[in-house]
Amino acid sequence: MKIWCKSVSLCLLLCVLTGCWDQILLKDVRLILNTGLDEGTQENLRTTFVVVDKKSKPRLVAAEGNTPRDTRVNLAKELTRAPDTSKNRLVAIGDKMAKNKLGDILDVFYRDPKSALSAKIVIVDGKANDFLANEHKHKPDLIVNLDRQVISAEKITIVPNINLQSVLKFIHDPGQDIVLPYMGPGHSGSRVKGVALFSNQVLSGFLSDSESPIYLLLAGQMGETATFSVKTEKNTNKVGSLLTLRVYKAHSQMKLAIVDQQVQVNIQLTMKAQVEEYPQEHQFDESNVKKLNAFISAELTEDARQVIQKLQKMNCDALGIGRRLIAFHHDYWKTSNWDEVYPGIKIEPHVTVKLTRPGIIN
Amino acid sequence: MGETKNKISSTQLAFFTIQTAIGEGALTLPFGLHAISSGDGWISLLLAGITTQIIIVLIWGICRRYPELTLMDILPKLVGKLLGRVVSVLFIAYFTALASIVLLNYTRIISSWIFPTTPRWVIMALMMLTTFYLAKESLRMIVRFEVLLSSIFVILLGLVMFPLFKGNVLYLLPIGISGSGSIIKGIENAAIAMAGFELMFVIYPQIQSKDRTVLKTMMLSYVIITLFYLIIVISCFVFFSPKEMDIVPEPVLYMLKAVSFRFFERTDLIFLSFWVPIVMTSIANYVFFAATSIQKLLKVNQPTLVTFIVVMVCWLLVLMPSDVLQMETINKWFSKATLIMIYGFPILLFAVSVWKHRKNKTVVE
Repeated sequence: MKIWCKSVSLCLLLCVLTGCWDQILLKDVRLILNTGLDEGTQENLRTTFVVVDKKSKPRLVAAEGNTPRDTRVNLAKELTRAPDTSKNRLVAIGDKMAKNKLGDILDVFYRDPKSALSAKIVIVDGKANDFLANEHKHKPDLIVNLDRQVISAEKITIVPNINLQSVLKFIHDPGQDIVLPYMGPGHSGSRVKGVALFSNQVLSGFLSDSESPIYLLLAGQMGETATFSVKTEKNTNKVGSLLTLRVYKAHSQMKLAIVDQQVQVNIQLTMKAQVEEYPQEHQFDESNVKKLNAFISAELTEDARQVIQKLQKMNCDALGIGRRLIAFHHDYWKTSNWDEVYPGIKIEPHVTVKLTRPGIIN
Repeated sequence: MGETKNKISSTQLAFFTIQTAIGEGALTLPFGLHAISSGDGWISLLLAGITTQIIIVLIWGICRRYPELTLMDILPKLVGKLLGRVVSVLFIAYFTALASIVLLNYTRIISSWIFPTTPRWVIMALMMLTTFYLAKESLRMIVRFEVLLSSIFVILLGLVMFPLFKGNVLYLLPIGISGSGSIIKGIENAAIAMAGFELMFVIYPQIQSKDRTVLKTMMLSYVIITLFYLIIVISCFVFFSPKEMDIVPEPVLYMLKAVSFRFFERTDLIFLSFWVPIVMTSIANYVFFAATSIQKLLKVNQPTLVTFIVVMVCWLLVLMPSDVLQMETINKWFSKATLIMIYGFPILLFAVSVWKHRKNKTVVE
């Protein structure tokens, strides 16, 4: 009998342990799935939220305020239930807004224990509001999956694999600048346009989607594959003369030296690739492949050089050279002003491509 | 009461030690170390590990001279009756205060991470209820439960290792940048997180093995504890960039916040749920030390009542401060006290005991 008494009272006690104060029921909140940040017309900030209700389709609600949190409070005034950002999946920042310091804009996302730090973050061509509205117009249901588009671009090495949390480490790192995915409104929904480059937390320029893969490979941030199209004959662009190759393995090694107080960087990128498309008549034999390898390597080295020039012009230390200086040449780092030095340093890329698989025809 | 029945083996001692030492500190240690000795915090940790080993040898040196006695009986013999009583009370106060501090920090983390609107006293009451339930039992019972619980460490380590592979080793370089001064200062912080070896003072008579085995067990447990902390500290240091570390007070949770798997998000909450029992054992062990010491001192045998009083005192002590900055001040003040209690006193007592024994020997001769 005694054991029965005990177990019944224990079961009753369970009711006390349900965490009544902090329970949040799904029926009491409106989930926010995407957030767009823009400059406001009257106040500092205009945030566009993609809100999902239980029954209706996702909809866009915009609110103005002086801080991101402020806009969220103002959003609550327009909704019947409390907004909840714990399932936020994408933060889109308009390119004008990104001229402000990123750390100032994003603070609320880091301070709130409930916020979703695994959300993707993108910079948007034009206003984030227009970007989300365009996506909503073309694919009203699929707007909740906008982050999947970023993830698939990560897989083919067009944008870096980065989320709200991993941005924070670059925001606070003097030795490496931020690179974020860059998207824009397209004809049928949104489109990945490349990467946005930052200099000291402030947007400074872009790399197009044809330039970003080579940068990402140089930085050692390959997704699953990367695809390049290379002209095999000089100065022609006619159908059939291009070779498309898919990189399946890449290794990047950075060597850093200081010669006469000058930083010299040497980046060696070796990759193994598969021929995806090459309609010209040829045999996949040794001499042919050697010629192709040398040619493609030279072409990609040239591309890499141009990309690096762009990075330096925008004063974006996207390769983390400063971080290496801090680690290996600390005295030099302490005495020099990296922001002024970086655009002038010598960075020499070397790309070596090895075609190892012809596909299933020769 | 069968005295031999209540003894524990050396393996059990190892688990007991690990459970006492690893508690709330594991979550905040990387932050505390980084604040003082920046990227070299792990060196401070290793040095603290070595310091701890030395103190363990000293405490063991005292205890093995009196294999049948606990601290409360040893003290009067070493430093005289009155002074012995004073130091005993100090140690009891220390045990109680440490339990309270762990409870305080635990409550702060739980209420800011999971239950922001739940009243703090409820979180504390739930914790102290379970603590009371465990601590009123005999040592053997407590130890058996803690051996069972230790499997959780494997899960915790597994979760911490996840972000380790995403990190950037360059954040640890250059080694020694913060200077030897701050590295040594950082030892203090790490040493406090490792508190727990003073348990020998209380439970030494109840260990059922040779004195050399006890020493070996204690040292080995502390090697494991140091390694556990080292893995946590290094994985935080490579995951966060140095300046970012300075703004994240609970880095272990923060780095798990973005780790998500296909079937669950917010790994930090899962980590926290596994971590709660680890903290509970820490508090329970200290409450147990305080309660047994009080009983020894007052020569009473009422574990349930005394444990209840200790638990209530802890709970009431922690109810008062609610401001984060206030808590920081208390923590700082208490860490100084800890240093004196578990590093200062053992050295002093060891010196006294060596001196006494030498005197005794000359008398015999």
